[in-house]
Amino acid sequence: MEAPYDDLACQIGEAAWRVTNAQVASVLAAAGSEKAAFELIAAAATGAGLLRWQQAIKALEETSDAPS
Amino acid sequence: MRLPEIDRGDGLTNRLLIGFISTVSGMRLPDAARVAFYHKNFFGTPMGAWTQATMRGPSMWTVGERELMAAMVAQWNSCAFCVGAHGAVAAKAMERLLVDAVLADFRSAPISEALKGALEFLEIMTLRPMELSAEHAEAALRSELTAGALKDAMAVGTLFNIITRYASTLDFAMPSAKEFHRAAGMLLKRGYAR
Repeated sequence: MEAPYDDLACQIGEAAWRVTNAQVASVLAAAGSEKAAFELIAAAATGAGLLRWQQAIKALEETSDAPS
Repeated sequence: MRLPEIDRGDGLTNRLLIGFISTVSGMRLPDAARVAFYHKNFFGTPMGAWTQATMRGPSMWTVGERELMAAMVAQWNSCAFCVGAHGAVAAKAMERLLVDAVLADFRSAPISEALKGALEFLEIMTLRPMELSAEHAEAALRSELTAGALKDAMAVGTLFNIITRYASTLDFAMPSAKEFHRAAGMLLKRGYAR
């Protein structure tokens, strides 16, 4: 992925509270529309959430009390 | 709000709707609701349905307990808007003093062992997801928590690890405590689906 997209997506995954105005502005400039910038933000946030779901379910399934 | 189009609404209908709701409710429509109205087919509609099912659908947890979990995930992710919004809903469904005690230190708060066990799991899930193991799940299951209840808590954790991230990235404006309280009443009454 190109720099401004990758920088923002990684920042959202690792520590979204540290995202800056400049990071969002760079993505907006590169993407060319607010909807495209929003799609990247929503996708990066969703990815971070689903990674946690995957890890949590894996942990539960590996227990002896795992639901079938 | 870092994307002005979300602030003002995309399309005439949404602009009018945002203005109308703000006028009728006597407060600026919170940014979380503006996002729900934006680019709806891509995100708002499915996200609203998912949030409604997780936070208001059938669950081993009460609405207040789920809102409290949401506020805790928000706190671990340093999202002041979501702590305020979901802490206020939890306070309406439970007690403000209890919510504050949990937010200050959930391990010493007067809550059930099951809720404590779920929060301990959610803390690792949120802050150190790659460290999660069967041992963490087993520890949660030892605290009077069923596998189904743990799974329901994981669903809340997943959802709010998404919501807090876009709230922070978009830099949601902070309502006052009074506005959070008023919005919480609407979220309890009407839920999340748009």
